[in-house]
Amino acid sequence: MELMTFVRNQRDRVAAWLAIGLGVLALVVGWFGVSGTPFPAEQLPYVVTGGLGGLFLLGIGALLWLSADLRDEWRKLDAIEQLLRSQRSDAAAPPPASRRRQAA
Amino acid sequence: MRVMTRAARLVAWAGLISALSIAVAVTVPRRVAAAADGGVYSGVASADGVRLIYGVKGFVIVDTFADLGAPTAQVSVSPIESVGFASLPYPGETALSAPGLVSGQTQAPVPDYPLIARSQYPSPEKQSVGQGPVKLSSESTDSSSSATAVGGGDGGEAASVGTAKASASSVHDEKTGSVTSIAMSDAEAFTAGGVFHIGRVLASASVTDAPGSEPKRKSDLAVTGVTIAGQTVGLTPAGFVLPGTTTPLPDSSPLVKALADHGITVHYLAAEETPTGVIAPGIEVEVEHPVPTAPQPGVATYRFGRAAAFATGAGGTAHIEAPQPVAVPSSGSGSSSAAAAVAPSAGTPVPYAAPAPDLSAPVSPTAAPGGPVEMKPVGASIPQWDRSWITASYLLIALAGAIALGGAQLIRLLGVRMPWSS
Repeated sequence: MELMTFVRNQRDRVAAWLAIGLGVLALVVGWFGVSGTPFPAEQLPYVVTGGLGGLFLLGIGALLWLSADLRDEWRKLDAIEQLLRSQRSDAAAPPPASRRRQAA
Repeated sequence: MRVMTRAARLVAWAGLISALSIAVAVTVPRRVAAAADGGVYSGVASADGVRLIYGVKGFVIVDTFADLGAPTAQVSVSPIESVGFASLPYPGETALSAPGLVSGQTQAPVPDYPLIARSQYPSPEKQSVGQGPVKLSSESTDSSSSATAVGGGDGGEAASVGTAKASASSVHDEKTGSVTSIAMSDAEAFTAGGVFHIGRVLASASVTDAPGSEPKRKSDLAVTGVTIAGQTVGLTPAGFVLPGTTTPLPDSSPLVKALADHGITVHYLAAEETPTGVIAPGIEVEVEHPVPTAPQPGVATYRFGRAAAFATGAGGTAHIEAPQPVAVPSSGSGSSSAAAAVAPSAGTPVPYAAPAPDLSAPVSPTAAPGGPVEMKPVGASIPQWDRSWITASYLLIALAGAIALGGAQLIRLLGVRMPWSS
């Protein structure tokens, strides 16, 4: 259950790790395909699928990872903003009636 | 304490990225070099039954109007390609691609050049064309290619050729890494000016190269049934000789004069040895004829022989003695043995075989420049790096992926995580 909560809250970070893992896997599989034959006609599909596909997935993974970090920033900023707003509203709010009476 | 932890993590990431970069930088050249060393074999064979070159010097800007091999067979085998073709005549790649270009531009159906059979592994592996006396076939596998072209025909008013055949094959033995290339040129019943006749010209070239050993080259030329004005003669590197003699005929000889009167010149083309192969000897017959409005006569050059074979062995899983060059096939009525000149016999042409050329001798100055080979040996024309460019490209892609991932980590650590240390 905690795992599901983590995945829901950190979905971009989880997606980043998935994309990076798939990208590395595609590169490794592509390398075995490329090095397994001397003929360009048979190598090119592996270059396109494994090489370029893996590179694309790695790029997506890096982007999502950065996105996750930026989300952390915004969460922190939101928390700060919320704290400031609550403090400001506390300061602007009129004192309770009992206090006013005591002051008078 | 938390700041120290993040700093330590940053150092760890930087160290990991540096180690990854160094590992890739060290690994890439070694893998590329290993891939290149394991697959740098190449075999090329090329032959023309007869090569026709026609030109008029000083007439227009272009001196040569036609340069055709008829028939032509060429193959090339290497880790990059295994291709072959047989054509009659071979019009060149520009002419072959013209129908597709015109069809694409005009949307009108233009038929492809019909007189060519091409094969390329993996597709098409085999192709055959047969139209009347013309028989063309080419076949390619992952380690071998062979092409055979048979035809013949009229060479114009000045000369004619009976049957001509060209064959080429190249085989890479994956077990030993050796490459054997064989090319053969065969032309029969050539007549020029009604005075000069050649019964048959058979030339062959073969080379076998195995890793760690010198190439084994072999070339041969047999010219039989040569007559001038009905008189049987022999053809040697030094010139025409009468059967049973070795002294070349002088220019004042009636036979040589008869050729000169008809504008016929005959050259002997010596064999050429290259670092990776051999070009067989040949003969060249030039026939002049007047061209109206041209300052000089037109010259039709018929080149026979000059089959070429090149091989560079590499790879292989076991090192054993390289196989001997395959014997060149000999068929038909003429004799291809390197026998001595035969005694003259009135009436019927007698076979004559030119002595085997000395391959160690320097190239004869009479040898035509360039030679008949259009396909250059792969081993000589493709740099070492290009042979595994796909492998190198793949490693570069992997390096780019590692750099992208490492760069993103640096950006998020230095640009995002470190400023927000609390």
